[in-house]
Order: sequence, then structure tokens, then C-alpha cells
Amino acid sequence: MKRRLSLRTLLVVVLVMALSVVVHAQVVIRHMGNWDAFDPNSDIVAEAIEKVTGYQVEYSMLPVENMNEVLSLRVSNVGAYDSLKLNSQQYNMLTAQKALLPLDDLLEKYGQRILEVIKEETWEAAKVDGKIYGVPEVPPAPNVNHVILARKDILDELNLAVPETVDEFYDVLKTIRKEKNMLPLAMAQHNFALSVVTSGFGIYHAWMEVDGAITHQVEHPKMKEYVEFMAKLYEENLIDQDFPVNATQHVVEKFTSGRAAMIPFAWWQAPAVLAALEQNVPGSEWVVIPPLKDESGNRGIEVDGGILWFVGIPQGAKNVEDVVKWWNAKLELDNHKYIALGDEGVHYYEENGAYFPILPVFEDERNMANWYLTGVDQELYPTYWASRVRKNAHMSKVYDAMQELRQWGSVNPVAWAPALPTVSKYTQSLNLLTQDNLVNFIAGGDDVRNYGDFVDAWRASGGQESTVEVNNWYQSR
Amino acid sequence: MNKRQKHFMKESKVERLFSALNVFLLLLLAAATLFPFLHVLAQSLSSETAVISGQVGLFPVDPQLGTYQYVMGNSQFTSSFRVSVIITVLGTLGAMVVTTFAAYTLSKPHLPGRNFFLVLFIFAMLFHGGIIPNYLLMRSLGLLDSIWVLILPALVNVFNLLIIKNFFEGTPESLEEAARIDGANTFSILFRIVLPISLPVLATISLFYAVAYWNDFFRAMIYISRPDLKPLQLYLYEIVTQTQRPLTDVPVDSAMNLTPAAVRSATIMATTFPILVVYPFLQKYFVKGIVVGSVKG
Repeated sequence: MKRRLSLRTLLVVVLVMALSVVVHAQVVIRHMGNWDAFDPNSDIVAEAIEKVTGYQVEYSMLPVENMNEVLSLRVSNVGAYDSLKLNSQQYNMLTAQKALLPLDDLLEKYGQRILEVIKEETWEAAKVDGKIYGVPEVPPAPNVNHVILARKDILDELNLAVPETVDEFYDVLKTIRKEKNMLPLAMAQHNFALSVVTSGFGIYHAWMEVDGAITHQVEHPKMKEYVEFMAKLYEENLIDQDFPVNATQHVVEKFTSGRAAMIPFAWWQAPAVLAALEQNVPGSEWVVIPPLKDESGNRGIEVDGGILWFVGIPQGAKNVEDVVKWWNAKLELDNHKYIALGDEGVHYYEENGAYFPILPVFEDERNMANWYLTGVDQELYPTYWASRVRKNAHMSKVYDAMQELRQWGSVNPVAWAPALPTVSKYTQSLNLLTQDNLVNFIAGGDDVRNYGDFVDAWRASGGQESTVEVNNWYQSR
Repeated sequence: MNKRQKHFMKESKVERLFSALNVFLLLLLAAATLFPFLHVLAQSLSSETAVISGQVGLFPVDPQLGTYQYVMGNSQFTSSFRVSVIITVLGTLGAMVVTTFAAYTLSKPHLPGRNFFLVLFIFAMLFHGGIIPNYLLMRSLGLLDSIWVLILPALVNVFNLLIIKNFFEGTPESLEEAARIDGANTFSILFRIVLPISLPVLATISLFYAVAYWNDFFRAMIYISRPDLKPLQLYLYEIVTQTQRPLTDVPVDSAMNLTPAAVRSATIMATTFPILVVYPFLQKYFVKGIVVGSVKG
């Protein structure tokens, strides 16, 4: 009797287990992210995630252009997606449309690990009307991304020190033009506000705090001086005369062929650009130009801050609990490391607490791991992420040199702002307006004395509304 | 007077001058379209260093084939290639069947309601609902994220339909009458009499459809979110577009993975080549078909 009972119990247990496996296997999470140039369903990282979380996932992507419009359309198809990875603009858009599910209760029940590894201040910034609609992911590090890179061998040859002030910068350009008769600084049309140079005028990023209020750089009291300075450079042939029509590729071409002494530079350009420079101009060396000092000796440069991504659940999604469990499982200590870095000794090795990629396996099997992230451990992920920069010697070197500038790092105050629908609405068109006008001023198409007219036009085209919205948030923090 | 006479006398010379100029201009035009193509081809076969430093003109510098190896080995490329071949083959076949049937019916003046349907077709050619209503329609039909959404909505191109219809109207009625007296029904008349004598226009329109299906990326951009259903042109479009965004707009991790310039060129070549191969085989019909269709219309 006793034996039969235990047999029966065993049978029931086995049945329940089998059933739960079946039920579990039936859940397929449909996750949509932003665009990248690969197929996320066939990448090996997808397999790794399924292995450690047990969840089957179907991945899809937004297009590379018009992603926000397409996102709106797709989310209107209720029930088609369970999990969305959104940039902050998309997050703002969907929360404004009330298209995302509040996550507070779900996270409390199934997302303990998620709550644990993300800092309180980050959660606060992700809230909309006091509720969490998305798990926030901060940038992997407070990176300095954009500087000016100069040919050190040329500076040395002309006995020029790395410029620290606006005047020194001008003299360096002038000397290079005079002595070497080469293009001192190549630049593209979207480089109209070179942050290394604007720093010399007290402007570090798009929005600046001036006397307790937030002001856009366009309206910054010193912006006109910056434009005048750049116009002078253009007139004296010290910056690229093709600047109004140049795209990045033209600028890179001039620098790598040895025709230009400086270019606006992001560290991820290093692998291609510095390899080409090395080959075309043997013996060339480079140096990072730090942000220039203003009259009172201050300087600053933008570092990544705020929230880069959110993962959320659209209203009407089916497998809500499983989605949160899935996110949670991915952040468990071992899983998180395995997804981001792979196996020790196979994909990476550790040295003095830092992780280094083993190539080419890392490149083949973990290169796209970042795309799959749905939240990161704010303490640990930066150390995992750093291995990605070390994939390439050039990149690693430039990156390290640029990160020394973090001592002057400054975060755009708006980076931490929650949903700002008006700003989102106008950012793109205002940028375009600013680019058109600044390029025109700098290249002499319009007199800088008319800068005020441009500011008026900027205000009237949504700049005024945006500024009001930013300041309403800023004062009420 | 004298001048005019001279002019008149030398007309053959003027004519020769004219054709020389004509040939020259056409060569210039041909060169203008050929050079960019050769430039991209040269880039695709050159080293990345040579490409980004602007050393590549019409001939490869530091020749290599690694870019093509990379493109062919890319999982997204191979799956997109398959999708494009499927939609082009199925789409062209389907479109030809549907368009021909519609055109044949509409070419019969004695059919009641012909004008009504013709107007409906032309109305649909000139006016359409726009992206969002179309999206809602596809959604209600359950076609989103399916390969059929890339095929079905493009089955009938009214312009092509009118060309075929006009061609059919130009075929001698007496042929059909003779067949009918011999006991043929409508289907055998269409398949055994009308279609065989309409081969030029059918070849031309097939090519139009095939090229349209092969080159379409917009529909996929709107309706397809599953990467395994992306056609080749959408993949190409994305690869090319990604690098045109200003660097400041690209998240750090994507920026690290930007497709190298030489690989981009190789992708362009690899996507263009298959449809390019089709042209020479159909070209003789192509020219003739258009002329016949338009003249008889």
C-alpha cells in the first residue's frame, strides 16, 4: 500500500514535471530591438542565452531608418511582441502613448535580481509619473567619445606643443598651414560644433547650465564668439574649405592619406583609420587634443551619462511574467558574464582583474552580445564591456588616451531627464536647422552679425518650447 | 543664300557630324553610368586601407577577395539572398498569371462592365491609401512578417497591365475567331493563340516585374521585422544607410561594428549581380516589346 502510494506519487511528480517542461517549452518570447547588421536568430549568442535561461526567444529588429515611426506601427499590432529594447527617445514616445506596461509589481515578484544590480538613481530616472515602464540600461562607461586627433609627428617637427587654449590652437593651425602647406584641420558638415573647441568658449555639450537655468548651446552667450572664431579659421584657410559638403568618409580620406594634420575623431574609428595612416604615412604618430581652456582656465568635455536603453513590455503582451523572469535570469551573476564574455580560456582571459578577448573566437561568438542585453549589472558590466575595446590594439590605445580626459568630463544635464516629449519632437529638426545655419556662418555664406536672426528662427521652430520643457523638469527635480 | 546652299550641299556631312556628336554624347552618358559601377567594383576588390584613404579609382588597389568571402559568409546575406530569390521567382510568376488574365479580359470590348473595371484599375493606379492604411490592411489580413506580404500586394501593376492589354488589343481578332470556329474555348485561345504571339510583351513585363521584386526594399522595411525574412535589397539598404548617420547619433556598440567600406562595396556588387545577369538574356525582347506595346496602343 505504502509502496503503491509512493509509486503513484512518483508518477504524479513525473507527469507534472513533464507537463511543466511542455508548458515551459511552449513559451516563446518575442523580443524586438533596434537595428544592427546581423541576424540575431542565427547568432551564437542567442543559443547561449537559451542555454542559460531555458527560454526560447524569437528576435526581430526595427529598420535602420524611420525606426520610431515603424515602432509605433508595430506596437499598434497588439500581442505581436513581448519584450522591446528601446532607446530613450522611443521609450519617451511609447510611454507618452501609454503603450507600455507598468513593471513595478512584476519586478517585485519576478525581477529581484534586476532590482538588485541597477542603482536606485537609475531607477528614479527611468520613472514616468512615479512608475517604472522600462528596465534602464546605462552606458557601459562614462566614455569620452569625441575629440580631435592630431598628427604628433607634425607637431614635433614644427616644435609645437599640444594646444591648451583657443589662441594656442589658432597658432598651431596657422603654423601648420604656413610651414607644411597642408590642411591643418579636416572636418565634415556635422562637425559644426566641435566640442574640443567649444570648450574654449565654456560650452561642453548641447544643453548647458547657465546661471541656474538650462540653455541650449545655440543660445549660449558665448556661442556667437565660437562661430566667429570658426569663421575666421575658415576664411584664413585653416580648416577644410570643403567643410560644408564633407561627410565623414571625405574627412577620413584626407587624414589617412596624410593631407590633413587633424581630424574630429571618435575612438571606434581607430581600427580602420589608424591602420591606414600607419600604412600610408610610415612613422606617423598621433596625439589627442584635449578640450581647450576658456578665458578663466576652465574646460570640459562631454562624457556618456544618463540612460542609453530601456527594456519594456508593450500593452497586451501575452507572456508578461516569463519576460520578466527571462530578463532576470540573464542578469544572474554567472549568466550575465557568460552572455557578455563567454567562457574563460575560450573567449576571454583575466589579467589583474581586467578582461581581455581571445581572438578571433571572441569576435566570432560574442561580438554582438551587446545587442542582446536587457539590462546590465551597473557594477560589473563596465569591466566586461572594456574587453570589447581591447579587440584591437589601435582602438585600445586611443581609447585609453581619450579616457584620460574624463578628469574634465561633464554629463549633459538633459541625459538624466525623464520623458521630454517636446524635446524629442524637435531635436532632429532643430539640429538640422542649426547645422545649416552654422555651416553657412562659418563658411562665410552669411555674416556672423546675423547670428541673432538665426537664434530667433531657432526659438520659433521649437527651440523656445524645448527650453521651457527642459527647465520645467530641471527646476522641479 | 550662298550659305544656305552650302548648308544644303553639305547636309550629309552635317548629318555625319550630328551622328558623331550623338555617339559622343551617348558614350559620355554610358561612361557616366558605368564609371560609378566600376568604381564600386574596384573598391570591393581593394584593401580597406586603400578604400578609406581614397586611393581607389577604376582599378583595385591591393587586390583581395576577403570582402566577398565575408559577405558570402554573413548569415544575414545568405538568408536574405534566399528570400529575394523566392519572392522574385514566385512574385514574377504570380504577377504574370494575374496580370495576363486581367489584361486579356479587359482587352475584350464586348464584355459588359469592362469600362467600369478599367476605371477601377486606373483609379487604384493613381490614388492609394498611404502607408498607414496599407499597414493596417496587411495587419488585418494577417500578412505581417510573412513572405506573402512581399509578393501579394505587388501582383498587379496597373501600368504593366495596360501595356499587356494594349498589346492584346492589337492582335488580330480574326485569329481568335478562327480558333473559336475550330471549337477552342477561351482558355485554349489565350494559352494556344494569344500568348504565343505575345511573347515579346510578356518577356518585357516579366523583366519589369522581376526587377521590381528584386529591387523592392520599402515594403519589407515597413512590414517585416523578422531578420530571416528580410530581402537582399533591404539588407543592402541598411548596410549603406548605417554609415551615413552622423557618428554622434550612433550608440557606442553599434559604432564599433560599422561595416567596413570595402565590405559595403562588395555587398552592393553581390546584390546587383544576380539581376544584372538576367538582362542580357531578355534584352532583345525588352526593346522590341516596349515599342510594339506602345505603337499598337
